Amino acid sequence: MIASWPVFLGRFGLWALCLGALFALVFSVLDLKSKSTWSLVAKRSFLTSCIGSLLTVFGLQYALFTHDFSIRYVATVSSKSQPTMYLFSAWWGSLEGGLLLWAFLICLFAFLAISKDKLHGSILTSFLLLPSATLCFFSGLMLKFANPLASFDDRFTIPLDGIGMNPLLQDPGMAIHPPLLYLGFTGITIPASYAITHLLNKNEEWIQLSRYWTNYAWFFLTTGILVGSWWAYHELGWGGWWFWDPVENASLMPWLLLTAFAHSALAFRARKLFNRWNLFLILAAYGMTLVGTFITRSGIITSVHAFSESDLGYWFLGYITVYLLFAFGFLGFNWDSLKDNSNLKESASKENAILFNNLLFLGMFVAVFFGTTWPIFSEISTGEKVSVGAPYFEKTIPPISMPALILLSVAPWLSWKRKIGKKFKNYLKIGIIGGLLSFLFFSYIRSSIGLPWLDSSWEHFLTTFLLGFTLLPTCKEFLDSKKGRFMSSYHGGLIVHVGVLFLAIGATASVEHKFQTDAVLENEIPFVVDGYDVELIQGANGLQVINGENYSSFGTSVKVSSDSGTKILYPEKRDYGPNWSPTTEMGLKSSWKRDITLSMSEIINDSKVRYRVTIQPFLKFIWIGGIISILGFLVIVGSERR
Amino acid sequence: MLSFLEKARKKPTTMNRTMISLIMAFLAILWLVFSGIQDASLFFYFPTEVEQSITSDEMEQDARIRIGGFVQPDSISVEDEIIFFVLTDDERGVVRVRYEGILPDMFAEGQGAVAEGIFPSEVDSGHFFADEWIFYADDIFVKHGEEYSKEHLDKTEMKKRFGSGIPSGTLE
Repeated sequence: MIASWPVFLGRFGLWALCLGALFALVFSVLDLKSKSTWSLVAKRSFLTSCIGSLLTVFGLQYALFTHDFSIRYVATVSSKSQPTMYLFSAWWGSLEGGLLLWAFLICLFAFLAISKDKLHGSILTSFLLLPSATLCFFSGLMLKFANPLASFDDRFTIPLDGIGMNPLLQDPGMAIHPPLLYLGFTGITIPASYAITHLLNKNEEWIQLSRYWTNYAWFFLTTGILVGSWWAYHELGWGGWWFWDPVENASLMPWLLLTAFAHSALAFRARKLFNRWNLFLILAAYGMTLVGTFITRSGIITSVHAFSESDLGYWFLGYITVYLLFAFGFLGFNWDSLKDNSNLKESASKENAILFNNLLFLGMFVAVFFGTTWPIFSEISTGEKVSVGAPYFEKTIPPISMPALILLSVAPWLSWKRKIGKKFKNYLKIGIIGGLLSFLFFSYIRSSIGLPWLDSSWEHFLTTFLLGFTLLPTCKEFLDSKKGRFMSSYHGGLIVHVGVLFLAIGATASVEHKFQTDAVLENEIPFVVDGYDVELIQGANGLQVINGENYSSFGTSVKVSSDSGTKILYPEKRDYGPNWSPTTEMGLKSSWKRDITLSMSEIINDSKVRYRVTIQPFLKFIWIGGIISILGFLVIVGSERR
Repeated sequence: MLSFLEKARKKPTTMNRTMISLIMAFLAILWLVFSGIQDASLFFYFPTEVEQSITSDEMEQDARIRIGGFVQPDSISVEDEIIFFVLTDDERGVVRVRYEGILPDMFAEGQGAVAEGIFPSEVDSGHFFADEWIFYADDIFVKHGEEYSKEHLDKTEMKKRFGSGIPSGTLE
């Protein structure tokens, strides 16, 4: 069977991607080594690589949309009945396409950085080292292990219809979550590359250039994590929104380091402080994107033995080692020449606050890193497999994150170099009033939904206080700032901080006061729980069966009423055919005070259905806080156009 | 390091004070992490390993552990709302699991699953399985990252369809 011309073009593109990146790497090294300039050749090789990635993507999309099931990947992640939107997102539906997306985005980011920052000469070639090495690695993996355009070895095995994408992934949230995360991961490549230009070529501008691209990476990564969490809550259907799963932690680890970097880079810009530390952080953040992918892709978490079954894991480990040796080797060799102004004059200054911010973020990173990788270390060192679950994280993260929240609500009012000023004392006074007010407000709301007035975790009390403590001075800051001046990155940061506090209230309350029960609902007999009236209203007519685009759904309507109104929910099970187990779509009634979710677990008979009912106060604050933070990030990204 | 501390003692500048408090705080965090990990980690076994340690008398009763494998086809049964099933692995070890509660969506025969619970030392003697090792699970996971399930689903399901050269797991 002869492949169609776009598929051919795509396969050709994949080779162009790999060879172009290889040449770009070789000529960049040559340029840095020799006196003659190879920068133009390196640049053109890199552009070839970019065009190659475009061709591969085109080939894959063509195959997906024309249902070319002779391509193994297409037969795995798509089917004829799959909605068009999910045909496109099938691109990143599995490992092969995920690698392609990663390579494509690196090309995109590096191309944008080169053309926007007008890189040339030796800065260009030192910049190109990291992206082209990464591209070489990823395209090599694709060509050797995971070619998205490989066809079946035997043409008789070509199926008439594909298996289709995992139904859990057929959701708008899940369609955009992976590309957002990948945008964040690949975005980190750019500031890390600028760090390398500084190490190799004394590019003094590196931190300004880095910060600009860091903001984008940070924005995408944060949004990606939030969307993923939103998806987990709505689609997994059992009332949780963060599971401390290795897959989630893999995205959290680079995020923590990136957040630390984004703050310490501020100190460098303002006072030329922490030069070496900044370089270390961003190089480590890039390393963690690789480590995270390695952990989740190689199967090493399940068992060290599962890892050794495929060569993919070894390749990843090899590349990570090479990267760490080179990156930290460069840093080590240049250690003495990387002068920074390490003179801290005042203890209660902004630079000191940033130091402690970095310490706390590094602490959270260490906690998450060891929690995630402990099973590996344990199995290697003692041969005993262990499993580290949510209780570990719920125990270690709050003692580190709560001080970070306190710091977050006072640090913006501190000034560089100087002692505590009048403004700080003033804001502290306003803040305490605001904090007490918000504390009382939330206590009142808690009692109004049937929770005890003064019985909650200290984390929750603290966050409810800190919200007002930060919000009131922030409002004053915005009112006082001159017209048109409140779109600076400083103000963007203040908005993000407020968002984080909203999120923290939602997170602490929903974990602390989560109420879950299994309830058997009988026809027209209301079930009363925590101020909610839950009533099955359609059981007598049997289950409703509705046919969706590529699934059939069965469920019953449930009426849920409380003081915030009545809503008819439709919890359902969806059946996506014989290849997949059915999925649960929960029914959700959400107000700003609390969420109630119903997931159908068992149909006992026509008029009796078992549900899992979950009630979580202030859960919506997580999404509200997330949206506020994202808006703040937009202000930062928008204001730092250079 | 020592010389730094020596200098710090002689000249307590802001920088030195800051550095010392940073180091102290970081040590506190490390202590938090490592003590937390000791307390909160659970032993994890494959069914074959469970069988081995039961026969060699090493399996501790009443200790919380996790067992991961895949659900043996035709092994799920329900009696009085109590679910019984068998976890197995590539080397054909088997563990009988007893579970009360709601099973996750992706839970199915042939699918990967992790059960958390104990082998109780005192079992309700009126029950028919009193002399057998039954794992009392109170939590069942089918990881949404699917590192447990998908691989096995692929291996069995896809081999049937496509022969060798199995594409790997779904991207999360």
